[in-house]
Amino acid sequence: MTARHRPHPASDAVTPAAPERRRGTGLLDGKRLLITGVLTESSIAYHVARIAQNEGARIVLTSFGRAMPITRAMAERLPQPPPVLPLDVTDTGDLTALAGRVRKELGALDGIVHSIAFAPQNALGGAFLETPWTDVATALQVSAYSFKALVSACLPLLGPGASVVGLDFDAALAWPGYDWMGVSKAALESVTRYLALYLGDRSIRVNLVAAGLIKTLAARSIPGSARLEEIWRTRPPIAWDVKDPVPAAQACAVLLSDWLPSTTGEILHVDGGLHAVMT
Amino acid sequence: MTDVTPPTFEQLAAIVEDKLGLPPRRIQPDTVLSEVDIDSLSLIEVSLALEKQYGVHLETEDVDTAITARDLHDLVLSASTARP
Repeated sequence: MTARHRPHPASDAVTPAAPERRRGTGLLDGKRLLITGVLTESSIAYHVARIAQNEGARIVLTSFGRAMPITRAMAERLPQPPPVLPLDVTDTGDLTALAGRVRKELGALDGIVHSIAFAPQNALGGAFLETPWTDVATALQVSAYSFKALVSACLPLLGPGASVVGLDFDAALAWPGYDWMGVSKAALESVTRYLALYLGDRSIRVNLVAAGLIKTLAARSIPGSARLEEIWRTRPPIAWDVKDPVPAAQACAVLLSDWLPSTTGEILHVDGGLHAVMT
Repeated sequence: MTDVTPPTFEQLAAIVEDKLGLPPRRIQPDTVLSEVDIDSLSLIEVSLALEKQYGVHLETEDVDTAITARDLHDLVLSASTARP
């Protein structure tokens, strides 16, 4: 902690869980949600799933390949272990089959959480000027285009009032080492605006939560992430806990709820205010 | 505080070798994890196996792949007494 950092009185406390405890009158009562990206208990998506269930939603998770048994193990730790459906967002067959698989489990969908990102190792960590297009293309496809692909695959199940939420890392700035993943997040932000444009006439909302740095699996794969951690420990005007994914997950839950019915194409920053200030 | 019985180094090495498809005794105390191509998913797989077999909860987000297998074992030993 540096001298510039103003300690928050509750900086050591786990985020209050009280709003999640209103079983029976939950924020997401009756919602049917598809949630991607549940890999560990530190995943934002894991806490979205947990909060969603506690708030009355029925959910399915997705995973694929080596991650599938891991996601299944995490599913067992949720309040009600949900089904885990196969989905590689770069696999046309998986995307084509997805709506049918979800329909079998939930009938239809009221919301989707996109928590998917990947960049090859040489697209991160400072080799920005040398990264070949093939690796950039992979990062863009998995991390940005997949948002459109996922929504399109689920479109037959989404009705008026449905809400789609993606997880972002503020792409208005260039972050050290984040490199082509940062470019991919900028693309994700633009994809979100276009999805909002083209799905507006169906009354489907599309928004992003731009979370501050969380020490998740994704963050650990960024070379030089210690520098990012230092930024997040010292600069946000409200103290930011890089080990607490709950604030970002709670924001996702609000966006999935009926409480922001006229909000679409938006980026909700859940970052302790870092994006707004220079300290 | 609930203590658990942590794995010996050899038992931990066997888990890592199994998850990475490595031959027995490939993992030695001075083996750097990144040298055997351990990645984030492998670490989670190791963590889940440790929890299932030994009741040890290892925070994979705290594991840097630049460390040695001996360092990893030290982390596991710490984790075995750190969980309430």
